[in-house]
Amino acid sequence: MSSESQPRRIVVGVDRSSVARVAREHAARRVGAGGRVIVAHVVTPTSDAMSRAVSGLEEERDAAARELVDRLAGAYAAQRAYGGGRVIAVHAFQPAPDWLGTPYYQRALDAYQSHGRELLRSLEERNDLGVELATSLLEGPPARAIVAAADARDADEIVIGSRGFGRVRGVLGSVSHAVLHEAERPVVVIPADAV
Amino acid sequence: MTERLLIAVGEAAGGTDELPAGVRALIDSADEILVIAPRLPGRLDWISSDTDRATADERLAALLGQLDEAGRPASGRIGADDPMLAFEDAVREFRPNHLLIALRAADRAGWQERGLLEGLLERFGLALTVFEIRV
Repeated sequence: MSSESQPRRIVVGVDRSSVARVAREHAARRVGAGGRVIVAHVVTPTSDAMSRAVSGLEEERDAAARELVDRLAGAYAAQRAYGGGRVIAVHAFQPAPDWLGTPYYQRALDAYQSHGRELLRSLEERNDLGVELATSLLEGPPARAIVAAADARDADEIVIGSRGFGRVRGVLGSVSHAVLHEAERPVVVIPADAV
Repeated sequence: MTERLLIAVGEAAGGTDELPAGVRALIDSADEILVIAPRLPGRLDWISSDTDRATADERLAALLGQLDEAGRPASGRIGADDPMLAFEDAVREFRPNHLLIALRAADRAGWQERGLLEGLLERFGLALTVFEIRV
């Protein structure tokens, strides 16, 4: 039953919350030498954020780029520490529901797709990361994107924070709740103070 | 830091060789393991369709034996009928770092609907791994 030294594929769902960082660190500790950390970066923009995206405000893009790089930095460091491996950045987004049916919906969607591609391209072009990097852009509900990222790569497990993803639903955030319900592989839920 | 793993087991007692890799790694990395078999009465009955203590004892003994054969000796007990109470007792005495819960597919939704997973997170603040047993 020994498997401690075997490399593993772990999907970690992250957003901008601090508990996502804790989940990411937990995943990095468990991935093993030569393993893969698949960082699923999920974004659920508010109506205001979508308005800014449609307006093409640069600061919104810059803030999102900084956020994504920050979220991935820990995974890079962990992979180097474990002697290689691969980081796969999955950027997923879901337009604000109240934009559905509005004249600007498609425009907002296009803006976010373009934005996501730019983010991932900027990551791919960096040469100071020290790890092999692949990227993937998904659209849809965050939980489904996280589960899809895990299914596509036959991940060993999914790691998520218990109070992540902004819209809190009790102790277990709504996205975490949905991932637990939908995933067909082990799900590790990490409270903020558990690591 | 000593890693103490609390395993809540039901149908998983049949075969640790078929556990997912991540779960096996979690077991392998634990310094101490306690296995409990809480019972969930009614339609969400967790161990099986019955709550017979002898059956629960057999399941628990089977998993403990397999863990022992794999070089992962563990202690175990049958938990209280109230799963939260069973966890409370075990956490208080064993002080685990991580909870590992095996659920049948049909039970996973039930556990979430009843807020048991949230209850565990809220009450104990411990990392929690949930995986599905296919039976």
